[in-house]
Amino acid sequence: MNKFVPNPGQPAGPARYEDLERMFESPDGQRMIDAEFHSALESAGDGFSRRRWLQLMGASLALGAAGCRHENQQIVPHSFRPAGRNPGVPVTYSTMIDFAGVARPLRATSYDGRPVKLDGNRLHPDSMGSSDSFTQARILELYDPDRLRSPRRRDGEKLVDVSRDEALAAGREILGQAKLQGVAILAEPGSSPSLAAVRKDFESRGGKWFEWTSIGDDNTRAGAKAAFNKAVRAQYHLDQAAVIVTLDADPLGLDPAGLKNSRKFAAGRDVDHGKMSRMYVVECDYSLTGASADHRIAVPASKIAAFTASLAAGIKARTKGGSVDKGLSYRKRVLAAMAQDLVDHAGAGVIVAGERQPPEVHAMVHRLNADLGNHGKTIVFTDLADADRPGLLESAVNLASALESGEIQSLVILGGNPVYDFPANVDLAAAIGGLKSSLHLTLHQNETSRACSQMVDLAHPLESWGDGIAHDGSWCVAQPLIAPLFGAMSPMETLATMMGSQAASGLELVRKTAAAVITSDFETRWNQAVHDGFVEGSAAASVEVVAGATVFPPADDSWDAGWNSASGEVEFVFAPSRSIYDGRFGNSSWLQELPDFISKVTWENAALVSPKTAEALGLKQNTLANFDIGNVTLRIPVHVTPGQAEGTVSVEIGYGRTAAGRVGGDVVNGVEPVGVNLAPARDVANWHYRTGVRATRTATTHTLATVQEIWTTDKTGRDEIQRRMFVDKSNGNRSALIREGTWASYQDFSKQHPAVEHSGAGEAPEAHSSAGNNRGALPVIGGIALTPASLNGAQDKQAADPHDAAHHVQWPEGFHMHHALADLTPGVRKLYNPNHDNKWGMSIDLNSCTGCSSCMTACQAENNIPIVGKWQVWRGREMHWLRIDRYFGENLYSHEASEAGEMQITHQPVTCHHCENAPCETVCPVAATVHSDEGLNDMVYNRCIGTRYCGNNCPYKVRRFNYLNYSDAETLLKYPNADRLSKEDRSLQNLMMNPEVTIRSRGVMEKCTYCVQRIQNVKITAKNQNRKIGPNEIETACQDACPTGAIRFGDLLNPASDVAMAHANSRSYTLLEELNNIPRTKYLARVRNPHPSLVDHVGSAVGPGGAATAAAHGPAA
Amino acid sequence: MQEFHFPNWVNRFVLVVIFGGLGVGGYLATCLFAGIHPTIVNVGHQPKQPVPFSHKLHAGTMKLDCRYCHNTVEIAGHAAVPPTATCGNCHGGNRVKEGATLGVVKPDSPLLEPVRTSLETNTPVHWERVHDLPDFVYFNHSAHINRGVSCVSCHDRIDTMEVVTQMKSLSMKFCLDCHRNPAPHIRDPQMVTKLDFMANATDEERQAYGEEWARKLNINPNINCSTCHR
Repeated sequence: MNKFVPNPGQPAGPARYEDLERMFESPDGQRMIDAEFHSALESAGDGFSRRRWLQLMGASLALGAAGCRHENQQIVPHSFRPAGRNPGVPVTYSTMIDFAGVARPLRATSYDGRPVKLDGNRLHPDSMGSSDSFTQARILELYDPDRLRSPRRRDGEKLVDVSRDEALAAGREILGQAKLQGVAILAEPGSSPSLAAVRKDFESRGGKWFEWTSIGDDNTRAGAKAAFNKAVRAQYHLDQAAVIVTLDADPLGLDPAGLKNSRKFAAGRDVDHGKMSRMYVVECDYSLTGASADHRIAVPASKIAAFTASLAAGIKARTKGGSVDKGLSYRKRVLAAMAQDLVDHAGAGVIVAGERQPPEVHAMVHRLNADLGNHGKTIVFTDLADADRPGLLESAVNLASALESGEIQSLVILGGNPVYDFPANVDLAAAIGGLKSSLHLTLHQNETSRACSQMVDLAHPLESWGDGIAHDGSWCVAQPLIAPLFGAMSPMETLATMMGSQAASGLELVRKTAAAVITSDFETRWNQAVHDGFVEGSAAASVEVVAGATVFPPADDSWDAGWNSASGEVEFVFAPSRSIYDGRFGNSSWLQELPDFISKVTWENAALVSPKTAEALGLKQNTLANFDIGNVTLRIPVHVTPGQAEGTVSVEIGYGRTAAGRVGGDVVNGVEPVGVNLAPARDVANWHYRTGVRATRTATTHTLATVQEIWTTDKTGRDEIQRRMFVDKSNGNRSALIREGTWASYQDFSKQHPAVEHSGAGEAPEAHSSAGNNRGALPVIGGIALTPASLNGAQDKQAADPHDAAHHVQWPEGFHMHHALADLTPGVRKLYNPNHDNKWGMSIDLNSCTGCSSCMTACQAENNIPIVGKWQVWRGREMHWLRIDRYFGENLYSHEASEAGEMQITHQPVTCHHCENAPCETVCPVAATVHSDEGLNDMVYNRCIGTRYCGNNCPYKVRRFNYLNYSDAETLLKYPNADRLSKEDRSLQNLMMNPEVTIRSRGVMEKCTYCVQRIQNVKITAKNQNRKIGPNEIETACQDACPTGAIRFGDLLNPASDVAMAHANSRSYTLLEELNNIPRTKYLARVRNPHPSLVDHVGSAVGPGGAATAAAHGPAA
Repeated sequence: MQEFHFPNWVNRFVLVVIFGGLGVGGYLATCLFAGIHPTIVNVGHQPKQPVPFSHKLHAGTMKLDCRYCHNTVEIAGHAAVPPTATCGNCHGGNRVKEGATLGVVKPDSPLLEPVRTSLETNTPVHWERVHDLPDFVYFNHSAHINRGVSCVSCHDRIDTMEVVTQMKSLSMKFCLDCHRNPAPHIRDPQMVTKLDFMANATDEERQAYGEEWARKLNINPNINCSTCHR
């Protein structure tokens, strides 16, 4: 009954391509192969040949025997130890950082007084403990040796350091007057009420306040204003939505509420509890949201408005329960299905328009949501504190004209980098140069600081008191985790000090504004707020808004009109960077090396262009192309990416910084910029995208440093990868890397195999329920246990475990081997000790994973993982212990979709699987990697002699070899003047390191340890308290950061643990099962929810008995 | 020209040269091995401290509990060296705090000058580290102290030392010996800081007593690499 039945009517499944080289058969593939196997490249470029290494090794051997004993270490205790401080015990504090105009509530881990890790505040509903890469990388920013360390003044061509008093006096000259005639401040829009109070004071004295940042929310605000007559903030309850439609929007990604939305989105697709929404995405380039969609069609950004009008017409024309005409072309049918679903689920739908779209589209969307009755149910609105502020572009234009007219003589720039990212129509640098005085308050010395006559360093948010309003409107407070490293003051302190006569205290400023929120019992509730990180119950109440009349343009099919390739002109889209945002993180090496979630490109921006468009324009992968944008020509490397709308090119902004620092580019000091700067091509009229851009190819090759294609071996290898990508039904027992099926089939399966809820309570009375973990428990398929037919009588290890026995019942899509494989080396190796207390395991739910990469950065911060630099990435030497594989595939459920070029995409985080039968262990000649009783695949750095056999024998390729002592700051930064990095600077970077994890050196293999330091610390605490470890008490760093709760970790022997339930879930499967590695990490198969009218065959979704169960079920709310 | 032949008497020396060479090589190897062996390198390390604090006097004669000063040992990985304030409780040099005179013991001793300076200027005393594990070893005091492993097992009879000296090798073998056979080092957790506890017991008595407590406390030490190396 449960046997997998191959579908005789189908050939061996549609193709999935692991990489683009395979897909387009570009000759570059061979070059990458050369790189992988070091043909003729051994000592090129990195200045450190093997011969030199041997020389050094010989020298150090001779020195080895001398100086053995004890460098004499000193212990320097406090003279007075603060109460509650225990040396070596990390403490977590709540704080916040203002980012993208909203406060991010955070939880900071401090080790002996230095912050080492940032995560989301578990108490606050905006993150529920999750975080994104930007948050994780803030730690690196705090200890960045390139931070501005003292105020500086321009003296002719030179910049000279000045004392803080001198700088403050200079600031007072501008801001200290009673009448601030001709004085302006240009600040980034922020949410801090205390800073707003300073601003009020400033404006009351006649000063002018302008706001600017290059990634704003102008269109979103203007759209709300057009619809409701006031700017309000939409809060999406994606967990309660049955149908989600996004129009060029990225609510799960770069949206300020991305974490909250992701969490709710995952909650709305909890298939094991009968919840599954359906998401349609219409967008120009792949966003995180688009990658998670059930249906996605690519439409150029300029045609989304026409699409919206057609959608509105479709909704109007349809009635509940209507059907979708199967005769329509695929893309039109998606529109029809979308409209029908929205009508069918009126009041349970969400339509979201993106910031890239003009206010009219937003107004139309608001109108549609209102008509469908979604307002107040799946979408609620809250008031904005600064609802009536002018748009950022408007503000920028106003500032430009005020500068031009001479109305402003003194300009103070508060943070940001407007000289770099201002609209190209305004030459801000020149305008600043003509001013009487200009002052930049900044964390880093950047392009703007260089243009100003003075700069004053600022304290990092982790060094200062502050406050802010979170996305849900709650009032958050930031407390300093460390005294300012370079003695600077926070932005509001600096401003207030310059405007007043004496030094302002950030704490006093914040407390003063807090009094407005905390009206009673101030001291107690203030302390509570500092403890929690926010004032409880201060979230904004929802407001009623009434959508006014909206004019819908007549619906036509212009959105579906193909691109006129003969014109040679494309639509050029300026996309916010998912790695370095708007360029502000340009000097963050972690983020520069973080692969883009779709292109997998590191260390630069690339022009993403679809295969067809590339072919029409003659653009080739890894060559430079010229783009004529207005009177600017940009030369950008091409990256061919399926899923990009035809006739469009997307390029990330934020690159090409000329004064970022040693990592991101510092032209004055001889550090080349990273990537191409798009700012000169962005003007006010074409801020988000520009049509009519001529694209021409050049013959110059430029190899991008991508992380996925580099592992391609040769044609045979690629074919094998492709064969494994998908369940090859013609071959019966073949395993697949990615498994997925339809919601309809999963529902049918679940009905036949009703789930037994393991609630945890009662099941395991000793189970200690850990506080703060609210991730949903998965049900377990129970009642059926197939007896596995074991080969040659080898004892079936799994049958001994009731939970393992349960997962012999598999959802056909999450197809499982029906027999235990033979252990070819019985008794030779020590497998997992079944009598041991704990059995660690992990599960990764592909149904929740959006590919956002926050786990990668969290792992990097937790485990002291070095970066390697662009050249080393190009050679495939990146060190990420956790990588995310991205697979493009043809649509499994619709041939037409594939024909229309609509790809399916799946992200799969891969890290060490801690195989019980680990292939790496058998080949190590020095037993440097061995198994622990708890099933961890331990890596012993001190034993490792660097043969790399283990890496070669690992089928998952998760082992990383440290070729060049990447952890050393000197190698790490790899910039021309690296030797100028002083000893102090190096110790500064060392402060960032997590002391719980060994820092690895050159010549040593390393890999994911399942965060063994966290396991050990929880274990020690539990033992000291004489209790058992709670079922979900241990969280790995990646799990901690994951916004969708896709990663679960814990003890497989504790039936109450989330991971034990996940392993017993019918969707669970292991990678490369046929190798009999018995991995401890299991994946949960992905479930898609295609609309029935958009399914023309069911890929692997073959129900029991071979009958294809077409998706006849609607989305379940 | 006549070829040169070694005279026959040289043959007598061939064996001497071969075995002598091997012997010298072996000797040098042994020297190197022994010279860097933890018992040679580590045991006996006795650095000079800025204040000649006598554990013999304080812990031995006056029977101060170890945890009076090393008060984090039960809750933290580190058995923290105490802040100067702890010394100041007795040796504050007539400091007056909240009306009471603190630290009247030996208020004028020149040897305690660094303590008084530290208290007055709020600058730390720089103590020399005696017991030092490599940075890739993660030893946790609380995990041992709470589970009935006494200080004496690794630090020996500190209460008899005028100057603290490292007495155990603290090598990996030293750790593993105990993790493989913990019984001789397990005792009633109440008695962990009583350093002379069962000092005169025979090995058999000690083993039997330890086994009983190991059973009671469910002591089952790990010898996996990741127990100590992360």
